[in-house]
Amino acid sequence: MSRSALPSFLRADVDLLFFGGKGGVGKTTCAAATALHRSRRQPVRLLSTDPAHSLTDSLAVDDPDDLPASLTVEELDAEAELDDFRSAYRETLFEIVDRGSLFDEEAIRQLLDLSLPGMDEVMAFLRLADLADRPTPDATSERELVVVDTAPTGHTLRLLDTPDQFARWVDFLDLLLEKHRTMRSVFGGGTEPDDLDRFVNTLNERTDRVHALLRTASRCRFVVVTQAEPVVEAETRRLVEALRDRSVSVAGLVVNRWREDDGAQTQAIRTLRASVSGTDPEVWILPEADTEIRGVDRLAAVWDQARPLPADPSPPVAAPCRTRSARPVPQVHAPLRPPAADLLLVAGKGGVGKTTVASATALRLARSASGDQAVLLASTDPAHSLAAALDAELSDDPTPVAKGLDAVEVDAAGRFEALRAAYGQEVRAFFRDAGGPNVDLTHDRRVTESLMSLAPPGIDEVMGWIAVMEFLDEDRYDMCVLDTAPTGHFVRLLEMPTVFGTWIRTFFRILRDHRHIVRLPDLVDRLVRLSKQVKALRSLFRTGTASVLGVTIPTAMAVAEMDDLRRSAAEHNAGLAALVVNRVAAATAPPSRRRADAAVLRRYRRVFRDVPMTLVSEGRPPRGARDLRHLGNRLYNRRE
Amino acid sequence: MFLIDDIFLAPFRGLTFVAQAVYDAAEEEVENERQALRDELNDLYMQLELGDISEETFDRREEEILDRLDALREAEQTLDDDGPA
Repeated sequence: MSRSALPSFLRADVDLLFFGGKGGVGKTTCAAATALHRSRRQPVRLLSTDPAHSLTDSLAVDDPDDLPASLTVEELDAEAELDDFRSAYRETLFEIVDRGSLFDEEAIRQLLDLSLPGMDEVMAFLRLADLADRPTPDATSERELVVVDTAPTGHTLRLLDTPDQFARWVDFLDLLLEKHRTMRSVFGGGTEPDDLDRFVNTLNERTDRVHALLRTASRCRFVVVTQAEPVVEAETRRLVEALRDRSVSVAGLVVNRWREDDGAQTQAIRTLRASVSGTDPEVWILPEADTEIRGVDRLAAVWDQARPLPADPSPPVAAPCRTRSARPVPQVHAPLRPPAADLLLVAGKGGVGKTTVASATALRLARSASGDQAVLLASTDPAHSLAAALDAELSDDPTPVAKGLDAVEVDAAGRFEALRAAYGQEVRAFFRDAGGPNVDLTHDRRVTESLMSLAPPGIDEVMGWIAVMEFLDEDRYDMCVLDTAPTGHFVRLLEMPTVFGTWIRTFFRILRDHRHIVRLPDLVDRLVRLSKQVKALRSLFRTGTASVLGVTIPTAMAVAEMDDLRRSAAEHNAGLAALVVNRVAAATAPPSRRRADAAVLRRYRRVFRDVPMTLVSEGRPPRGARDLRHLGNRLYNRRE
Repeated sequence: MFLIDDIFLAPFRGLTFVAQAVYDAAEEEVENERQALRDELNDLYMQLELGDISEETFDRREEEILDRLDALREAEQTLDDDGPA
């Protein structure tokens, strides 16, 4: 391949280069390879915004000195950033809320201290704002390029929407200050902005700058990483459409793990490109590697393998069924005992086959469910793929997909809207009726209106649990299988029940302390119900009836990530019930790959000594309920 | 014709109206009472959660409220049975 044939994003003169796509397609590999390539000529910062970082693992350097001097690697620590933000602005925020609301000092302090596990996207946004605000270097030094390795699709879209969300929060702060401003001008304090006004203005300007930066093609581009698999294509199409809706410029499409076979893949990618018309990105393919691409040397050579998508559908053998017959049906080695948990969380790295395993497991469990009891299969990943896997129409309402099995894709935003509509009415009515001849609540009414237009961070995790708690409360299901978002956000999901407890108690305290002014009986009723549901949920974890089914693949990076996942799950009383190692080299694979896999499998056995483990060989991905039922029957023993 | 009907039926109409009004008022009272009891229960629960009252106090007072709710349910049953046709 000639050196001139390289993706243009390896040259493009921009400030920000995002790499995104469905979990497990190779975002980290492509981002790291690009950062290494570009660090030969300019300073580069490689930033990971995925809460489950894998940059260090991918680069596999023990000593940072082994990295090129021009390359800085940064794995964003949202909690630390949040703490920094809080300690820097705590008093400022306190004063703002104090100036503009009914709440007393104690209540504000409690609110500001609440932990916010959904802050990853907000903190990533603030970090980007920091980086965008750095002073332009002088003529002699070159500007640093920021290469961003993002979290899988669902949460990356949340990140892109954060500036808008943040702008509404800033508006809210501004409104809180308005009462004070009005008073100041009335009582002769002048109309000059004070420190707090300036703080809000600065936030506003920063938000606008990042919003604009993300949409300026000459400064920011997005590289979409994908694979020629139906489920991945479906998600990629949604991602590209979402990027277009948000006016984010797509620099290219990288099709990773390309197999040398027939025209079917080419055809599929052509269709994908055609369906994202209007953007017409360049398409590059990266051949499937025999072994895991890890370490600086191998990463630096990644783009030497890249080539453009063939211009013509080379020999028109493109009957799509050829791929199907060419790839064997995955084989299962050492089936498991069917899990006995009431709540089974199917978790793992992005793209390892969580949805497939969750669906197959749910179908298998539904088979042995008796009488009127049923199994619920629910997806809490904002980038749902249950419907694509089951080849069924799904919605936010549980839909029967098989005998004894309902499936649901939780619509977090929709559910949040519904909650807001249901209780907003009461809050508005309260502020309309409250007060008396001597109390003017006009300002507080507006503050409340503004407060209610805000969406909380971590909305997917919050609403995911609220939906699941409702489903379990209804007593229709005796078991729930959860298809979760990839590791990083799965950990956030686990943190939620504990955090809910603190939130609800804080609200209770505020409501108690203000019970003579604030009367919101319906909202209180909902909070009490939620509190009871959270207790029931936490007792599922405490009594060991909630457990995790880990899904993973035979790579060194996946071993490390699964080990981290097990540790976080254990911290929240969720044990790892079993492990499914997916895509193990089949008997027909090249000996080098089989040897490499065998080595990783030995490591799995050592690290997860007490965990039952089953192996699924690579092959044609199961699609539709029939395939999945078949897989489920082989994954688990006949007997309970 | 229809004037005569109206005059002729007026006493019965009036009676039905009164019965309906009494029924509505009674039902509204039951509903208000139910809401009040629900709020009381929620209040009690919040106090327990915040550690303002002990488990024993909670249990005792919860039972009182639940008894009153039961009584209310019975009263409503009677109301429905004797309700206006």
